Amino acid sequence: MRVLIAEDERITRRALQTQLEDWGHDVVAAEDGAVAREHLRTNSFDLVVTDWDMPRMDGRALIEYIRRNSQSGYTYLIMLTGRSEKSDLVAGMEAGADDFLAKPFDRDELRVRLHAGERIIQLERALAEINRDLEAQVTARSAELVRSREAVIFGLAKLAESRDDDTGKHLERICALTEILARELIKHEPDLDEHWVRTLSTTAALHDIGKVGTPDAVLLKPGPLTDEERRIMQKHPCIGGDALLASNAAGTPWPVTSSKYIATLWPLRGSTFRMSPPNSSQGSKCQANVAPRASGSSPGSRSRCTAAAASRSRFMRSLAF
Amino acid sequence: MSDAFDESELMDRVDGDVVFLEETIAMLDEDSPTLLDQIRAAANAADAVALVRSAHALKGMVANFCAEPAETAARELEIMGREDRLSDVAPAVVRVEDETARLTEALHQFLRTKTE
Repeated sequence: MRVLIAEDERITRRALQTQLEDWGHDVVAAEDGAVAREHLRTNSFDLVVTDWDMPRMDGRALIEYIRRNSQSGYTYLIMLTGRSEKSDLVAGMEAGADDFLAKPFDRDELRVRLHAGERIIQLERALAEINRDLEAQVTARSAELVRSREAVIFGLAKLAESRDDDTGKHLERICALTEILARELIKHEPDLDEHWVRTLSTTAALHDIGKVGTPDAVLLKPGPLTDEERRIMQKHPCIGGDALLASNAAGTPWPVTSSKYIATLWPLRGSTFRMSPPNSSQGSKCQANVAPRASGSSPGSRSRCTAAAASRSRFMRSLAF
Repeated sequence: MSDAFDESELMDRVDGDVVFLEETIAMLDEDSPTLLDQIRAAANAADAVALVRSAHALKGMVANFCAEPAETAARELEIMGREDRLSDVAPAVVRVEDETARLTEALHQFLRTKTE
């Protein structure tokens, strides 16, 4: 083991160093806590034996420093203490020491305490290895889950889109637009991150999922919609939103934000929309607020340019609630 | 045989290594006068903190030689410092000086018997 000794009394320091080297350990000896700390800054040690009362930096401060700064695995700490200094012992163990050794040290006692330390170090290393493996597995599984989820999301959305073939690469455009907007937003919102951008842009595809509930006669109607047909058409974000909220309640990881898309992107279709809270007393959690569209327009012929600009604005506002 | 230290316990502690024992006795020769000076200065200045520190260091040093009398004398001085009882500290300082001198003399005598 690599062992660091911190002891200002040089006979004890020399005796410890000689004994540990006789047992085959790689030993560095420091004359006080401050020197020991310098060694710790440039080297790693498996085990540190430290005195309690030392000039410049005492044992407690050294132990606390090691526990605060331990980065390369676990360091086993043995505190040297006088036989009559029980209060020091308690304080040392509270500060993070693993064991103690009475001064002047007994060779056999030192040996068994070192063996105990070696066992703990080996266990700590084995545990760290297992944790690294588990972490790697979790990361791989999480990535797999994300890929699966994204595939399902996009598949569902494409399925919904397939019922309305006049929109071209509509979903891809919405996802790309959402990503652009989200990236702008995170520049100003410290709480938002890359994960949020990815989640948002991916699940943006879900805004059309409610079309599965729109009758073909309305969805695929080539000509202008009647007022009643328009009301039916405008319910598709509500259907999608409710489905997503229900999925969230069931633990499926659709972000609620996805539901907001249905509200915020719907204006692309020429209408306004609002969401009511999930605990609304009304039957549906999602309510369409119909704004009359220019008479004679149809799903296939409406102009999206001005509506898109308005939707961006609503989208930004919607993310704030 | 001197009662200043336990010879058999000391030889066991150094694992019979006389060379190492000689090295540590040399350290005691070098370091103990400084500590005794610090003890005297602390006692004269009625500096309890400094007295505790130097007496504690001397106690730890002589303990390496299984020297019960010198260790006890140093411990008493350390306790007096901790309890801030410095009015009658002079006799305790003299005792520490005497026991340390007795120890170093006994150690050298013992060493001579081992190296002859």
